[in-house]
Amino acid sequence: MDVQCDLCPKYCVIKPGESGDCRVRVNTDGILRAVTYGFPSAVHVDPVEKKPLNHFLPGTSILSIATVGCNLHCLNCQNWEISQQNPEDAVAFRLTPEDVVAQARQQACPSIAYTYTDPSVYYEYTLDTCIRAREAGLKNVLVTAGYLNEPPLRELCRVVDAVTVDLKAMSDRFYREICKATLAPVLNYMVVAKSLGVHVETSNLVIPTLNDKEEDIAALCRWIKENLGCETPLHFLGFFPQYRMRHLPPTPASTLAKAREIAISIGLNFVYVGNVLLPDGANTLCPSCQRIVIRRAGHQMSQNSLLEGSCPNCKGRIYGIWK
Amino acid sequence: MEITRRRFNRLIVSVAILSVAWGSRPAARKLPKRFRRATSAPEFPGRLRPLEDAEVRHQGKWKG
Repeated sequence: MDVQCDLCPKYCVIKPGESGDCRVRVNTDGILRAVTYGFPSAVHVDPVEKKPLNHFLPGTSILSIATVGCNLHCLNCQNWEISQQNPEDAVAFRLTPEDVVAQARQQACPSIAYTYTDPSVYYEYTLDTCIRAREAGLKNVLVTAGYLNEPPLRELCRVVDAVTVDLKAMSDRFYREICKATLAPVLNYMVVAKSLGVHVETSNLVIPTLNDKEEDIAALCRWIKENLGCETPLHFLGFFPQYRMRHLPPTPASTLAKAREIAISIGLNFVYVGNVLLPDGANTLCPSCQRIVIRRAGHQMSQNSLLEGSCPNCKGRIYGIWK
Repeated sequence: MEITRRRFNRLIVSVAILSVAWGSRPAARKLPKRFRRATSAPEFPGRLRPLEDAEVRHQGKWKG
């Protein structure tokens, strides 16, 4: 008997013995199974800034886990060796949700990130681990492409503290041709998460010739400002030739600097540049008085002068989760 | 305009059905729909190995 998975907008109809588009949700004798539940293939301690998250417990470490599989198939995927791998070919660890929480405590991490591939496809594992983590006083972060249906998203948001959503482009054509997905569910994901009180940051990988035109950047920034608010942090990330897009050059630093300039001129308050070192590209400035409140070099925080989440100079509140 | 009793009754029933259907639309939209949760598999289809503490402490080579 076929089963239909209604987790993501792909609504895969899965034949017995086969998997959905994500490779990890399988029809076993008419039962939908998440075959990577409890079996992460990556478990590491990262700086939280690497996610990227600049307004969430800065300077802390975050236990980061991932199973194989993804429901997007981006031609430029930076983690394709793990995201586009079949579970049959993968090496994994046996780690229950309770074990993940114990690992986070053992490594003195105040939060857990569900990251590297996409937590949407290992949804049940993410949800159960988030619940255990919350009970243990830890925070939960999703690093995602945001391709998830609204009912499961709403359930997950009850136990998630922050999400950083990779908004690939403001073009449905880009999503269809480059990622084998669609744009609208991703935008809805961000709006719903924000409306449910989850801290939201966004990132955009700027790929030469594909989404680096000034009008592309401006459209993306305007949408963020109008739908998520000017306080939403945006990270422009530099592209490096990867996977099935080795023919394109890396993003020039000047393109990222221009993107940042456009975002600030449109009215976004917190705009960062990642994968490339630019002066002030990783620093947090108070939007009211322009004083640097958090100084960073790459993923390393060197100075945090925030006082209870506010600028020490003008006392303006800075959007984020600070403790 | 004259109308038969049968026609009048049909009209009333039709309006009632449409009203109920229309009225229930916002409620249906507000109620969170459940999705089908997948069950976990007893065994991993790939290879398993023990988790080393040193490996966990090492920063991930993956993006994100």
